[in-house]
Amino acid sequence: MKFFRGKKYGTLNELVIGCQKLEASAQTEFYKKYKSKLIGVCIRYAKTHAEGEDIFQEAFIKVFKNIAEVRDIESIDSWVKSVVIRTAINYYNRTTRQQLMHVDLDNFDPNFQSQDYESLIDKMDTAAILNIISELPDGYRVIVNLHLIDGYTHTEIATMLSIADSTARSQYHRARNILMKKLQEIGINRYEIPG
Amino acid sequence: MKSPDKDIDRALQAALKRKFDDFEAEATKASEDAIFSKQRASYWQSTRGRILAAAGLVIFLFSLPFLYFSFSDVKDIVAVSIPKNDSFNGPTKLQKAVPALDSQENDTALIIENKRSQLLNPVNRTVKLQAAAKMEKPALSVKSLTKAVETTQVINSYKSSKDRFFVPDKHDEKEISTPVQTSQDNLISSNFDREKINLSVDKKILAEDYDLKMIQKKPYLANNFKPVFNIQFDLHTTRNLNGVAYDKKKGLGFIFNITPLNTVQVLTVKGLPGITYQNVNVPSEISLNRLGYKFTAGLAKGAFQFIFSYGQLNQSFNYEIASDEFVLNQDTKNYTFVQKGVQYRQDNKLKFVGLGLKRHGIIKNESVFQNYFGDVGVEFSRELKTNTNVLWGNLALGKQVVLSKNAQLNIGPYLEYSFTKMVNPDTKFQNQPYQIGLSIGLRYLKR
Repeated sequence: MKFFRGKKYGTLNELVIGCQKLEASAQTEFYKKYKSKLIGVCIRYAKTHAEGEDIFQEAFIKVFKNIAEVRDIESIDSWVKSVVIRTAINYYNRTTRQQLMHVDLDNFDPNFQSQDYESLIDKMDTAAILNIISELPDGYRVIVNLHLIDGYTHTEIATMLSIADSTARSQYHRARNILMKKLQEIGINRYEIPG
Repeated sequence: MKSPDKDIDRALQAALKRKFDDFEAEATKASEDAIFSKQRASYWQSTRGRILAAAGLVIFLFSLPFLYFSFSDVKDIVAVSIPKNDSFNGPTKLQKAVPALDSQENDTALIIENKRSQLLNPVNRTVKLQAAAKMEKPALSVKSLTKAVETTQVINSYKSSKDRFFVPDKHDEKEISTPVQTSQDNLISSNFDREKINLSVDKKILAEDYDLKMIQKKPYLANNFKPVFNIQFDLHTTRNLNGVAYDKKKGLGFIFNITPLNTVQVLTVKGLPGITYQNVNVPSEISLNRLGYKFTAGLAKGAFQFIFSYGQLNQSFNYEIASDEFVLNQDTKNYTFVQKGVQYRQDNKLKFVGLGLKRHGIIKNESVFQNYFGDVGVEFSRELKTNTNVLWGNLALGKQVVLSKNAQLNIGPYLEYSFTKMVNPDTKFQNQPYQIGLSIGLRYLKR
């Protein structure tokens, strides 16, 4: 039996205001509410699960540190997600090594239809797709996540990554082709999609 | 390609969004612990910062009344001065000293009576004691003198009734205080009846009945004399003010400083897991872009200064993160592999607000260093961007130029050293800055 119950936060507004007042119980509840979703985002952007955890920790610390600046509490979901994504970008800006971005696309079959990719992705296990994405070089993985999953435009991506708009577009095309090639390989091998 | 790019993009986007829109994973307990321990640490740090800031503010607010009252007290202090050169070697000297006091007319003047019966009255001996107090040469003791001389009484009486102080006397080895009225306007106003003074000494009486003994240079100190009010014997102002003068104590002052600063840093690089930093460089050249500044304003009381400061420090450094690629370099006959790195540069502008305490000293003696000053102090400041607290020690040396009666210009080199290390939020490099600059300050003293 609990003699001292934690403070209840009925609405998201109350919860965020509690976090802004640095109430420990609000922070714990906020963490519980967002942790599963946000670790998922972090893992998408990370090469490994361990790196995803690092990004997650760093991002959540930033969220608690800066939550007092949030004025529009209704948009807290997108704000938290943007903090996590920016943390992931910073993480790879800070830590990524100069990688060999050139990937051999010799076996890439351009005859694959768009609906083939769609049906293939639908059939595939999430973990398998996640695995394909994580195998992409850091820069490509970030761009694929930003454009294809999180829906940022090329201009927004260019701003976020501090690169030229044209560079963002060209890098995306290369990243997408690698992703398509990897999907083709799996599709032909596992799901017998004709090449 | 059968399908255009946009179709493929749309198909990939739709499929991936369906897969990952509700994608969740399980965070480990270690992550939770790390987040909340960091949260607690930063909460404690911010609380500590607030407590320190509040404590500083409280100290400042409490010191204001003290400064105010100590300043207002300056006006009420009266100095009673005795000419330095008027040694008190017996009645002849006393006769010389007395006329200096009799020049002014006043209703409340003292009458010096030539009655032996009043010799024992401690009030009547006040001036004699004061005169004796400053004698540098050996003199007659008060006791023997007062008995030897027929009567010599001088009581300083002043017009004003609002200011009163006690002039303590020495009588039979005991402290006695006697009330005397003083005035701020007329320091001495006594009507001295010279005719009634008989300062002749019967040498026979002295020889037979009374002992002459030497008194020390500072009999008041020697006998643990503790006046209720601070009565000071100003030897320098005596001649101008007929022996009695106000002592001008240093009042409240205001200080304003501007200091252009060049920052030097001690950078400690700590690697993160999986990251190798290399070729870390801190620019050493002095350029206008890298020049910081600091504004200081505050209050000065005596030798102490309580200051507020605002400043900007420009911090920049380059570093490389080692990549997986190596470059083969030929160095004379040897070949070396050098790891290639990705270059990064950080240019940060750190802004500080702070509170500080300084001790100001100036060389007054007539030497080549006359009017050179030295400031030494500590300062607690907070960086506004990263909310980091920094404790500084500072030192300034230079020349003080008197601009007017109340204003002084202080100019000279300034050194500031951080006792604490600041952590860069991106790289986790530890940075300990110290700054060298030229301090230009104006000091206005209210007297």
